[in-house]
Amino acid sequence: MELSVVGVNHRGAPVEVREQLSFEEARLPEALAELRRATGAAEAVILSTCNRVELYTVRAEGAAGAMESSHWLALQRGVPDSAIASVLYRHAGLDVIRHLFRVAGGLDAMVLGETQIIAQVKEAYRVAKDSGHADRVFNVLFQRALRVAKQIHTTTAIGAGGASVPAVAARLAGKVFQNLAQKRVMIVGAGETGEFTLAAFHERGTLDPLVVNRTVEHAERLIARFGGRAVGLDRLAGTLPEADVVITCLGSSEFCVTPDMVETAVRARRGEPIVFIDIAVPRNVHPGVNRIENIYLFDIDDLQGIVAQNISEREHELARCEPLIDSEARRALQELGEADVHEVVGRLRDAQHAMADEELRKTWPKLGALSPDQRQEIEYLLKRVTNKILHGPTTAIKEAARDGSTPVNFLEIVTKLFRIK
Amino acid sequence: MLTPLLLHVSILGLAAASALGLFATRRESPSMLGSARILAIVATLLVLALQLRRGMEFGGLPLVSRFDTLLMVAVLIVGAALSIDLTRGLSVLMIGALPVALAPLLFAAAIGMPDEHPERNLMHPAVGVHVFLTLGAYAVFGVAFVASILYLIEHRQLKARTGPSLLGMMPSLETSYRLTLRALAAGLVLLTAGIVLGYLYGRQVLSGASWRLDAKVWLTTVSWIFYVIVFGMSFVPAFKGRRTALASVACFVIVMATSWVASFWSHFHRYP
Repeated sequence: MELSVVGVNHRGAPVEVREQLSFEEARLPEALAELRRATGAAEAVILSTCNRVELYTVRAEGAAGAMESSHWLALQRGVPDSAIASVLYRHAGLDVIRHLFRVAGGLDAMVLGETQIIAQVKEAYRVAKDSGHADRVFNVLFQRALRVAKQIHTTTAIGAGGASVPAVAARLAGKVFQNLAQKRVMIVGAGETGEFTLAAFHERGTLDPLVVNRTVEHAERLIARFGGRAVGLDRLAGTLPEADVVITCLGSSEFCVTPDMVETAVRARRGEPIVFIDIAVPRNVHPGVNRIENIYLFDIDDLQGIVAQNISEREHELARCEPLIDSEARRALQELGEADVHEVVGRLRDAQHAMADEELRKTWPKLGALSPDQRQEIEYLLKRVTNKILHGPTTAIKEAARDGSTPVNFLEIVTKLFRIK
Repeated sequence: MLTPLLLHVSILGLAAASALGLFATRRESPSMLGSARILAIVATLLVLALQLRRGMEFGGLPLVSRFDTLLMVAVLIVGAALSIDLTRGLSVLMIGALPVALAPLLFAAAIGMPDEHPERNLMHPAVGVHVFLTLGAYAVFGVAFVASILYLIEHRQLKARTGPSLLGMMPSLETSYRLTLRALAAGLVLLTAGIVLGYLYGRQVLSGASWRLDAKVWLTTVSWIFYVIVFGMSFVPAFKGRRTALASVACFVIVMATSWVASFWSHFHRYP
């Protein structure tokens, strides 16, 4: 069994290269069939996300003459080998399993510890399995990879805290409100970061947003995406009491949200809290607003500071994840190896017993007339001798496979040595 | 011999659960949290076993001495916090409640078990219910106290914008605040019922009006008024949030201190 993975990811390959090499989800079954045909792989899985394209294959040992996966990838996507040679990585054997477990656990992700990749790995495996391209080996590896990913995220803090400004903003608001789904978000200005931040709240099911902008027409793009209603900047003060969370990202040299305005809004809300997320530079919300009761203000420096701390803490957690991945990868390899060993040992025993039976069949006529008891005794004798002869090699094969010190093609050597089919 | 042993083991168990709980919160470790929870349950069951044993000794509810009532307060606080933790997933509240429950147990150990048997009229079921309701109210006020402390810590961190520490296992401000209000409301209902029952029983059984001027009666009534004010304040926009939480904390501290002191002054509520 030759396990291998070739691929490109966000670390080495620029987005243009990743775009060229990526696969459409609908075409994956077809691509998997082509990959197996070209490379002679017994099983294959293609993981294609916006940050990586990886081809996982398992081939029977010594399947010589077949095309390399990397060459197939270049041919299939219509790029010269030389164009991707420098950004391509390859792993074989145990390293493939380690790599898969790191990817599934989000340890190789652009945002360390992100969980979206778990669903992507699961989907890649599902497509391969449903289309008949993943079998025993990848069933073991991918199912274990998903278990390891879950274990990593439940036993370590690798995914703790937010690792982006929008995620942290939403988490902070979640520290004030019990259920963001019943809250209304107001966005002041229609900047790109503001849109991302609004999206983070929208994902948590907040009510239709209020989009405040100097030019109401410019707010239409956000309304089209998130729903809600547009309000002119001149009506900001009057609309403020309706909002539970206010995201500001307006290009303005003056504060557009002042303490007086907020105090009036809080009175109108009968003391209900408001969270201000000010991601504009220069700032849109007067810092004095944070001194008002039940008002919580976070500016871009606060959010970036928290993001940096969270990422640093996640990196710190890496040290706890690596030993887990290593031990699980070894266990997976052992599981696969044991299955192979059982199969080889079974075949070896069958072959040797068949050979003994064949020789006995030839010998019966030479022995003349024998009683049934005598015949049975000879059959038992031959079985015992065959078993005794096999005991040494089978024990040695099992032990050698278990301690992992054998050469990669150990079972192949055994197969050839005993001429096992 | 067995009673002091049960008490000391349960104190050790609750202390270990508190320490483990705080450590679990710091490390954000669910497995440690689970261990702390189990330890707290075991310690509480030991206290209950102790109370059962005492109840069987003198054939009634074990609520007729200062020692017993302190044990009962500890059990009720842990019980209330654990049930909120298990039903609402508010582990931090349970962890915060453990040291609060540990305090009465330590007091109980300090004053020791009374040698004398309770007076006959204290064995009446109405007295047992009256004491149980009042202690239940104090336990629920204890939960409100812990929820308010959580609110104040979270509020302070959010106002100070102190980074990831505020993104840990703490519940949202709204959760802590709602819990505070619900606990205050439940405590008021229990305390009102306890006071009314005590009054009705006292009027029926005791002669004269001197018992109505008892320090404990007066201070409990004042506590009830304090809590009504705090609960009412929570509906005033200007007092919503931090101020109500502060008032709830202050009220609990004052009530616990005066209740303790009043039990020494009181003639009528003087326990063995």
